[in-house]
Amino acid sequence: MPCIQLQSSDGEIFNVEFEIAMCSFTIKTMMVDLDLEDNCEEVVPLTNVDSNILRKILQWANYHKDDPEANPEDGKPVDRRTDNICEWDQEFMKVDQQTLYGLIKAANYLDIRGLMALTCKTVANMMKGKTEEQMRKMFNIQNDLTPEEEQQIRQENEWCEEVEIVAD
Amino acid sequence: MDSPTLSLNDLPVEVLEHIFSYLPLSDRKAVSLVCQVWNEIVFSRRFMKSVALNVIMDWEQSQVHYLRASTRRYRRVFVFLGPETCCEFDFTVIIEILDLFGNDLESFHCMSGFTEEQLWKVMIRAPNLQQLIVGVDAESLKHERSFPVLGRLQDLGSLVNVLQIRGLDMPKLTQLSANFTTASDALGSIDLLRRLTPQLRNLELFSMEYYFSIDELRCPKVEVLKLAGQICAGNDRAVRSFFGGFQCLRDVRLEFNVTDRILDAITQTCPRIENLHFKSDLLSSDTFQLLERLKSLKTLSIMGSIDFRIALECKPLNLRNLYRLEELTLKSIHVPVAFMHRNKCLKRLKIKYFHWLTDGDLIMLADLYPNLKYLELSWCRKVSTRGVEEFRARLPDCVVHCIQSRL
Repeated sequence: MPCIQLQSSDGEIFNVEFEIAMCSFTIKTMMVDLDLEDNCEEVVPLTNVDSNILRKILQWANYHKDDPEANPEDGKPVDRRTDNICEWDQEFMKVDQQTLYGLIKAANYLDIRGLMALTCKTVANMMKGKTEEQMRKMFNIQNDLTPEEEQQIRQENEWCEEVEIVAD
Repeated sequence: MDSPTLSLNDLPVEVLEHIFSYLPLSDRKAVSLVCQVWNEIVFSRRFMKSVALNVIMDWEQSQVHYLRASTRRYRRVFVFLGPETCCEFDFTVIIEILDLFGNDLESFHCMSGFTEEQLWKVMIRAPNLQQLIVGVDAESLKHERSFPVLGRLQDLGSLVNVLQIRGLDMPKLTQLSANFTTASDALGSIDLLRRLTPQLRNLELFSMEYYFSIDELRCPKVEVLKLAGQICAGNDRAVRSFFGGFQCLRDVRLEFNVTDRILDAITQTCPRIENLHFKSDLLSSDTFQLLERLKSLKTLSIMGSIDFRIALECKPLNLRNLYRLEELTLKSIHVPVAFMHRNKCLKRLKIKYFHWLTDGDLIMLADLYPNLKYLELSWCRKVSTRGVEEFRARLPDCVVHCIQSRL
């Protein structure tokens, strides 16, 4: 099985099966651009991802390596479901917030669509049904809205209603 | 290791957008109150596509100032105002709102009656409009005027009287729904309707009375058709000629009593229909023979008599030759199960107001449709819990949904 070597930001080197590394569009493009496809000796540096996060990501990618190609429906506004996370993924997402953000940041940088959807859905699930105060507390965010701004938002929100989007 | 504490707000804006895109508006409203950045993202242009601003016209003018201060670019505005003619005061408020959001506006609804002058003032302020649902006071349509916006509309709602504006040209229009409630509505619109139907893909027509002969319209591109009222009340030849003009028809909904003669015309001229819904208070064995012509039929739904005491005895319900039929809905029809035929492709069956249906019939249904995945029973009073259990035992993969029956 052909492998490539990925180096995390803290210097650790991971031997990764080609097929698994390809879940990242960033790595895929890098390989093509640098013409590394036949050269397994080269080490690909990932300056934005530390070893803890990279290990987790490889674990996820390994589990999902046989998944069918990303569903073209994914990412369309129609697909807003967040209750369709498989059990393995739910278990995998039982991490602290720092790791979760680290995974999101890395998934975004490495352009791993499935992992991006999973992590974003997980955060969305944490938000669902919460008040603004509960959200601030949960995500440790300071309220920087003036009372006037808040009043403006509240008033406008009251007049807003969700409409179903018909496909363009 | 130098890992400073990460916060959600350290992530790129597009990540937050991605997260918020999974939230319904109720949660997005809470998000908007968390902090400035979140408010900006969650009501940014991309999210405004699914948000409608409801303007309720008993507002005091003072409330308009919130809209003036708004940073949101609303794309859909619904004005709630009585159906009577729009008064000057209300209209100035509408104009002010249009001046604020006009360029971003894609959809505008207002059921009040506009004069032609008012309609024109609305339209010049919303040059990118795609959907327009308004009432127009037909009596005011006297002089010719150009409505450049109408050329861009893709989805026109019930906008009957606008059809009477002479010289109206809407090359991009593909959907149209028109309700004719008076003879002058209908006769005044027919010229333009005749000109527009050849370009439409989606057509909905309702006519209170029989005002014009339907074969005046040619709809070669229409895929989805809905007819209601007395629109097909003319002679059979006209109906046959009208349906003969379709080339792409897939979905048909007929909300009037469909006789075998009409059905004969439709099934003969449009054999490729995939979804058919119709009403009939007299089903005969011929009816089902006619349906057999529709070899591509995937969903069939038949509404029988509203009065359940009138049993619509009919023999066949011959589905044997409908190889593609996946969904069947029968409402208030007396079709003895003994006369139904086997069909292996049927996946969904909905049975409504079958007061005579017994547990024994239910078991027979399981045998007739062995690949059923969904069975809905609404108001089937003679069916008992035991009957349903027995059905489930035979078809364990089938979901059985009982509504309001005495179980």
